Amino acid sequence: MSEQTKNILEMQAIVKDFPGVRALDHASFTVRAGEVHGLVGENGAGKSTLIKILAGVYQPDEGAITIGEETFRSLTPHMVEQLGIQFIHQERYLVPHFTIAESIFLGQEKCYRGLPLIDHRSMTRAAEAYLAETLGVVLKGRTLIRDLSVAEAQIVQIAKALMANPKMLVFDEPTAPLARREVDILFDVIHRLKAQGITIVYISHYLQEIAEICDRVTVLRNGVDVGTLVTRETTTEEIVGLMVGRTLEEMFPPREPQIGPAILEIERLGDNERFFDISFTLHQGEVLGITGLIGSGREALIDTLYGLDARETGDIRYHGQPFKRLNPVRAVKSGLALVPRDRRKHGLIVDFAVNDNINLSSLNEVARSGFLVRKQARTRSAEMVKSLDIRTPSVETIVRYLSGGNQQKVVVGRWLNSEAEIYLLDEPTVGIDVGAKVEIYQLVNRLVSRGAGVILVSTEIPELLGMTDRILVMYRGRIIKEFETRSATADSILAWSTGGQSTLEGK
Amino acid sequence: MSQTTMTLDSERPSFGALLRQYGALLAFLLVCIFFALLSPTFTQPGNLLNILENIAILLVVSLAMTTVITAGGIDLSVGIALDMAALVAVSLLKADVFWPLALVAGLAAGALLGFLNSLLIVRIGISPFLATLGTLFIGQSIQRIYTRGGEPIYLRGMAQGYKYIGRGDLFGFFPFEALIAGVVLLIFYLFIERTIHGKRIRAIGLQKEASRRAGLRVTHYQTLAYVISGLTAAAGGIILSASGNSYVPLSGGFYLLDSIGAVFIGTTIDPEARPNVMGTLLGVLLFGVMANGLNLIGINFYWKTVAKGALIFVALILGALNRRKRA
Amino acid sequence: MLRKRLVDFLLRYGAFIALALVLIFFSLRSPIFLTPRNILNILTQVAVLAVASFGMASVVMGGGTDVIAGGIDLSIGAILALVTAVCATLISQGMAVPLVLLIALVVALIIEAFNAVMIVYLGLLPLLATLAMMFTINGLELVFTQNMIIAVDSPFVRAIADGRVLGVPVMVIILLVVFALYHLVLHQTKTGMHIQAVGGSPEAAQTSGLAVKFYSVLSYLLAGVAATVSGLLVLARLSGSTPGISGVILLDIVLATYVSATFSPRWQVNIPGVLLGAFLVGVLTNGFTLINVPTFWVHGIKGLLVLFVVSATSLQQKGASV
Repeated sequence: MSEQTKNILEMQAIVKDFPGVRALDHASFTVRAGEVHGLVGENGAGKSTLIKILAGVYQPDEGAITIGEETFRSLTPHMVEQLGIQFIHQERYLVPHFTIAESIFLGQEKCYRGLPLIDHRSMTRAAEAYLAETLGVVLKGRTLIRDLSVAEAQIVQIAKALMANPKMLVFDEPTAPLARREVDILFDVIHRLKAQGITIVYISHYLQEIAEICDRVTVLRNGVDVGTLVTRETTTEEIVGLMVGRTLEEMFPPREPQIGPAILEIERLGDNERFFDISFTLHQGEVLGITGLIGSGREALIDTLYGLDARETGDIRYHGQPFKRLNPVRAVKSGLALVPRDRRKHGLIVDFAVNDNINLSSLNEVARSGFLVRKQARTRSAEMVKSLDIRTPSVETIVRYLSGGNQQKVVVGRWLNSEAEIYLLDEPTVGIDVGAKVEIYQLVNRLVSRGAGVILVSTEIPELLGMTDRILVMYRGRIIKEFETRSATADSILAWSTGGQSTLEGK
Repeated sequence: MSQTTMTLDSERPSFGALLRQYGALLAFLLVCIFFALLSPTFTQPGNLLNILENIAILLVVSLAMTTVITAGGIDLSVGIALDMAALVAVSLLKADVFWPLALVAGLAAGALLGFLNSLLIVRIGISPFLATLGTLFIGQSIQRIYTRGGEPIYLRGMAQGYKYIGRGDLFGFFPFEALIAGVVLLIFYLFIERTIHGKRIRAIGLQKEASRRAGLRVTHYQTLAYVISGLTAAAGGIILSASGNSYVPLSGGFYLLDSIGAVFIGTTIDPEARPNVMGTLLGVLLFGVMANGLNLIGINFYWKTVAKGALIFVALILGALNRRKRA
Repeated sequence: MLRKRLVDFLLRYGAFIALALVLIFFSLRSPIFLTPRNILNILTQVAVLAVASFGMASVVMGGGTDVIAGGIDLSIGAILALVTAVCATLISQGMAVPLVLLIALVVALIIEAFNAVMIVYLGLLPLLATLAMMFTINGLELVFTQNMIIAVDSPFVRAIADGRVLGVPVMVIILLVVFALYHLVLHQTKTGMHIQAVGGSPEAAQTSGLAVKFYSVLSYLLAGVAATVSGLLVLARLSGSTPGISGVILLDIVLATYVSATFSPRWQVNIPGVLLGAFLVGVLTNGFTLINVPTFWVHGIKGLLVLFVVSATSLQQKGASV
């Protein structure tokens, strides 16, 4: 290690507690000047908390942060900006109806000499020049943000961050909404930035990309850093192993799949926009994994399977019977269940009680001539709470106050209550800490042992390897590979997710 | 890392929280005591019945508004539904149509308006505020055109049965208007708070997308909410025309803002700050008592409006403080 | 492809086309419609509406166009009515006009400041907070005037009402001056850009280091200024104050403000669009009068206008990306 490579950032032994949960347990994170440093960890490992502390949004309970030469006990967003650190968030913090030029120069608009009036023309030219020179990207300064593609908007965000001449840029899951082609553009930009001497912290759970773009990677698990590796010298398996902490057999509850007859048959399903020609079969007692990067079409597939979006081609057959026109009402009536990826927005009515949420899809069962029979409803939900071990003071507790894991159990409980047969689980363990995840996995096993069929959509490799019987990999709207989970490896899943070429073999 | 249970806030409400939640009720009691002390006539049964009679129409319209807001929208055209019902009913009565038919026709007019609103909002996807604003404009215009500029239509010798609705007294003293309002109140209470349909409407109003994924028939219930709103506001119009022996164009406008105010005052009662039937009743009673009391103690009539505004402010601030505590 | 371009063209220029069609329609039906004198007449008639709508537009621009949670000021009509009443009373009692105007401005600003504090610092929904304020101010105005007309006979007021400069009515000049001012501030200065940023995305504004709360409050104060000028114009038009203005005008203000978006390529509420929107309203009223159609048809047209604008906006938003 050269004497000259100094550390630009040192987070030392950070502790952060939230009510009932220790999010960071003496976690440390060190970044060398000028490198591209990845940060990985499962959902709930503490990545988001760590970065929020760095951003000054949270204050650590213990530990210190050294940026350059100065050490701090806690930070504020203003301080962080002054110290030369900029963040590229997942959310696009841009005004939709502003032009690119207006967005980049927001807060420091160019005016005519002597007058407080904005010189739009020169601002536009400056913006275009700036984009071309610093990022090598050509865009028209007059274009409105809302007319840009997601990738272009991200470029604008980066340009804006660069205006502050930062020493370090932190990217938070930057490629989540990008297509492969756009990822390449982003990586070009990152290489340019690195060449200009800017340090990059890159948070992602696409290990494939970490391997491609990062010099080193730090793995977080259970709120602590468990290893910092040089990406060139490691393998995906090793990283995954650090992320999970145990062998897969130890992490996931044992499964003894008993696969029955087919219950759902999908034939040549497509919406002619985001996914095409999808065919597969789901059997009773089976957990079928579906994975792929965003843009692979897996989100659209699930939405269409549930009737949220209309399909253009193909058939859906349930127990051999075709579904003509599908909408969520029909889907639910026929025994489908959806656990959506955005739990608080789409999965639950957060201001309703546990009781109301659990009974929501089966209110007819607890009604007499339209009137809600409260006692019956309460009994049913109490049974479900007990059965799923949902931790709540009472069934009348408002669901908003429950932890993520328990909220998710409420969602599942709702479907169990309506006796669903096919479960579509869309990234079910996002935002749930590790302890609760195991319980969700146990739940999934219970579902299938009762004869349900489960489609598990996930981008967490360990989850796919530990919980599924088969895995379908989607790429650019089609199923590109089908695995028997038994014979799948993390590496191969990743490789197929990005189109079929493995990139961890040499760089 | 283990998972602990939740909360704390929902278990034992602090004094501050109690104050916030029962603030409106407390305010109501205080106001009543205040006026009772200042004016001997306030607590007389005759006066109390007077109050009930005066708030009857507002209550009915406010219940309509409660439904729509519960369903996640808003209905600026409730006043129009009220006016249309009166317009249709009175016009038919003038043509010597059998009065129950005129009544039903009036109600149907309101329901139809509600249905039209639902087409704009649910089918085309226009935001409820702007869609019902448009309906409001158009409805006002239709009334002006119909009456050639805004002249009321008077009915001499109204059919006895119809007149009774507005001016009758049950058992010789209890205003029939109040009775109707009471019945409507009961129906709404049962419907929104006790049936599964009310539950679904509430879910849809809170989180439409989540309800959709839960398999609820979102468009069906949204449409229902607007039709109910139109129908109920129409009932208010029937009562108004019956008590005034006439159809006075654009009278519905008075009730629009008051009903919104009453509904939001009512949300302070709910721990989750959601619109609710009993809360709306409280809001309406507050307005009614205020107006009546101010009158009795001889305060300038116009302070009534100021008082209304102040009341809504207080309700809103309570609500805001409530939310802050929760966050 | 062609169809998409046609749709885009219609959405972009539809409002202008509609305005043009309306102008053509009326000028064909009435020979005096398109004369300079009549146009100035129309502008005089809508001056009050336009200026008040500039104020409303400031608030909408600073608070976002989501109608329940976004920026809106339902109390602006009430405030301008109060301003009129205050001015009428004080002037008819002989107070010096500049002092009266100052007092009126201060009153309007205090009220809007109260709105702003409720909304920005307490987090009240603008729709509800300004609704409550509207009630309160309406009531206060009624208390103040006892629901009576207050006539004013003052040379200053008469000058505004009847005066002309180079043939252009003073009211129109005031309108144009205010227009220029609000346009410059909101669309051409950094402050205006920042207000729009806060309305478009508070998070973006925050991360750019802007003082979000300051700009929100400022947008309400701008509304207060507009309300004051508008109230003064009402005073001039009516030679006094009349109860009941605020209710009628509020709907028109909302209409002109939201219609403005259809005149903008960005589909955002904007000052020039407000002027055009108010002008359109004036054209309809004036035009129908000239061709002897009863003005209550105008109301219906306004309603259809709102629906058209809003449908177009909804459709456009559905088709938009990101």
